[in-house]
Amino acid sequence: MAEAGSEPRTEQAAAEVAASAANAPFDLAALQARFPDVAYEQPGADGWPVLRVPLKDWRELIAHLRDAEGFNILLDVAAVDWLQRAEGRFDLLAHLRRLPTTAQIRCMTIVDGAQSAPSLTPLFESADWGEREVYDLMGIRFDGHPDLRRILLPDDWEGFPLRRDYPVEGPRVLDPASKYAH
Amino acid sequence: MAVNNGGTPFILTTVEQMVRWGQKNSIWPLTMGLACCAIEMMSLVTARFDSARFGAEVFRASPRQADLMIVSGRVCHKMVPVIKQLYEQMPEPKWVMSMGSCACSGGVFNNYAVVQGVDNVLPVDIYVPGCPPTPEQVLEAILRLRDGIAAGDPKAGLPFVQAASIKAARAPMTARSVEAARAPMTARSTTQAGGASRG
Amino acid sequence: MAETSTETMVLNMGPQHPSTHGVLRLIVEVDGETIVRCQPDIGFLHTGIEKQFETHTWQQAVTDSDRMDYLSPLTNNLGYVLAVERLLEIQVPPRCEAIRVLFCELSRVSSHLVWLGTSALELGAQSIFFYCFQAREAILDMFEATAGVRMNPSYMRVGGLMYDIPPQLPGMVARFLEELPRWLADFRALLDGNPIFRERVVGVGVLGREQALAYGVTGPSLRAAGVAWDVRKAYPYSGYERYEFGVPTRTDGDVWARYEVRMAEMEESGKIIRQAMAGMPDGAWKTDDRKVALPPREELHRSMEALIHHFKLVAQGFNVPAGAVYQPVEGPRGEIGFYVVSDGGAHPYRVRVRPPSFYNTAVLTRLLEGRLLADAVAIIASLDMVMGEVDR
Repeated sequence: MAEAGSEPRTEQAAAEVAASAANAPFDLAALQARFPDVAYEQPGADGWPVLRVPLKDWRELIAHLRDAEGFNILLDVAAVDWLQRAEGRFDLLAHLRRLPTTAQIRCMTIVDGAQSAPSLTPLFESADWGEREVYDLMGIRFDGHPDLRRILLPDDWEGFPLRRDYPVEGPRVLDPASKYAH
Repeated sequence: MAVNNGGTPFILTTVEQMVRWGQKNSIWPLTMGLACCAIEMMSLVTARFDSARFGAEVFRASPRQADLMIVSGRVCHKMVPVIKQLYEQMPEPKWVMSMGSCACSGGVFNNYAVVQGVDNVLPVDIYVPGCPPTPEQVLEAILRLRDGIAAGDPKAGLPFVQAASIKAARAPMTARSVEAARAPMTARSTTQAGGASRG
Repeated sequence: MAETSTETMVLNMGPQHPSTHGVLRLIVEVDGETIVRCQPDIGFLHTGIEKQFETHTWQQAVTDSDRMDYLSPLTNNLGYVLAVERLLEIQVPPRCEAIRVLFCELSRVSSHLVWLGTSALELGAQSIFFYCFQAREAILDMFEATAGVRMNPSYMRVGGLMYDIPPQLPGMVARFLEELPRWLADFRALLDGNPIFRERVVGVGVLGREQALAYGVTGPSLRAAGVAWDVRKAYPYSGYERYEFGVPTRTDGDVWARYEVRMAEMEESGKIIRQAMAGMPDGAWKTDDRKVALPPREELHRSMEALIHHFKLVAQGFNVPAGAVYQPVEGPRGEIGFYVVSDGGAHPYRVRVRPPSFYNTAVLTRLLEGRLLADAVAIIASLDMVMGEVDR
């Protein structure tokens, strides 16, 4: 059976790749020259190096990673609610990879309650649904998103369920005028 | 009642009984899969479980040709208008089976997204607990439903309007979902009318 | 000659539709038989699982992970428990790793069998559906013998497994491995040369490499588009680096390529299952870290300390050091990632699941444009989405 692109790696080779990916997934000096406010963190237990990005640089930095460094897949957009945190309420994350190598990078930024984040949709199509879901469940708005509507919940839903101050049981009794009421 | 008065044997029955006999032997479920339970519902028709033995293998994609709605999985708020509409499109008589813990009571998902029991939305005839219930359990439920139909359970296949009025008279939600979770296989059809006819 | 009508019609497919694999709804605008635009509408199975994680203890939350991708629950279990184990910095014994690999691959085969059965059924090959489900019963029997349930077994635990494998399992696996090649050959005999099947899948729904990457498509659909990428090879977990297996890849990116990739993957999974079973180490099947794993039953009768650990673990669960990890695993549909955040407490602070089906579904918007309506069925089936995971 022909397997065109299969590349079985030995154990050592995999370890080598992982090590090199951890050390230099990208040209950090060039990146920090262009974005001086970006902080770099060495990979933690899970092997993901982290870039802490100010919100203003969010889209430009990820554009830089895509265009200059060849990160070609935006795996996921996610958000974490820290409710009372002084620096700002939400962590917004983007997991990027450079396929088919093992280079990977997590970008994090802080979005405060009333702020909106620049949308990544001009860079990656996967940001379309990813950001819609973050908006739907966390309530972070994205500037420049072409179609920022709720994606999982009904259109007339109130509140953002994944926020920490949203009760797990939700409203239970929905507005009787809603077609979703029962 | 079969009678043999010396000549040609013949059978006496009422039209109603004959209709029920036909109904119970040709329960056509609606092809409506929701979640995990839908996969077990699909297993129901395969060789190992073979619901064709009980005349219930003809899954119909159109609600207009279906008798039985198997609510196979968690019902989420966004799905409520859909299943209501599907139920209304099914012709009388019709039955609803609540398959799985989520459909019976919300199951492990006591949260904002999941309706805490499909009986908040539709009149359920038979509950099948389990996460997911095995196909054998679903077969047992179909057998009980058949008994209920044969016994002429007046509650099987309520029109939707009546169901809504029953819903209004019911106890508050938490009490009801506990009750649903505690009573395995409690079907109105078997507890009230069909129970005696079994066996 | 009459002018061709330029009027389009909006058609609603789903959420109750026999070919949309669950409760997917597609709003398609058609011009005659050709799809002009397609807008997937999801969320009909939104279960709030990510929120539900936060209400359970770390160990209880394993049960939530099953119910996302219910066709391959053990892969979800594994992703979650690996993430928590990383936060806890605990190692599991080699036997546990091998059993985990064994069950993940069994899950993969059972999931691909459901994909094959249902997609063939939707293309009119009904008998395949029955054969696939019969084959799948062999795997479900193993789950039942091991964990007590056919689906959603929640067999994995943070720090190990629920139980050891039962004594009859090796025999069941051996019989299964004997049958698997024959089954696969049967399926291929029924489909590969079938002109109707080929007509409907070859060259249909081409997903190119760049498009797949832009949409974040992973798994067999990405491999069918020519990217040899598999989390099991790139970031081996649970000892996958010790097994020999190939990563089937095709370059056409059409429905046929995705079919070929999945069929070949089942063969590769068979190889892994054989190796896992043959090299199954003896010894412990869960960690002996008493802060996480329950103490052995017999110790409860004589050791006060064991009893206290048992009580605390059952009544309160354990705390996990503060931090965040992202743990990817290769599910049957692509990369399932668990981004697990702990604030040091006894419950997950946040569990974000990177759902492969979610991103694979998004690409439907592009794939269906310009295709015939009848092709939509083949294309949807070939992406093999599970709505439980798309909507969570």
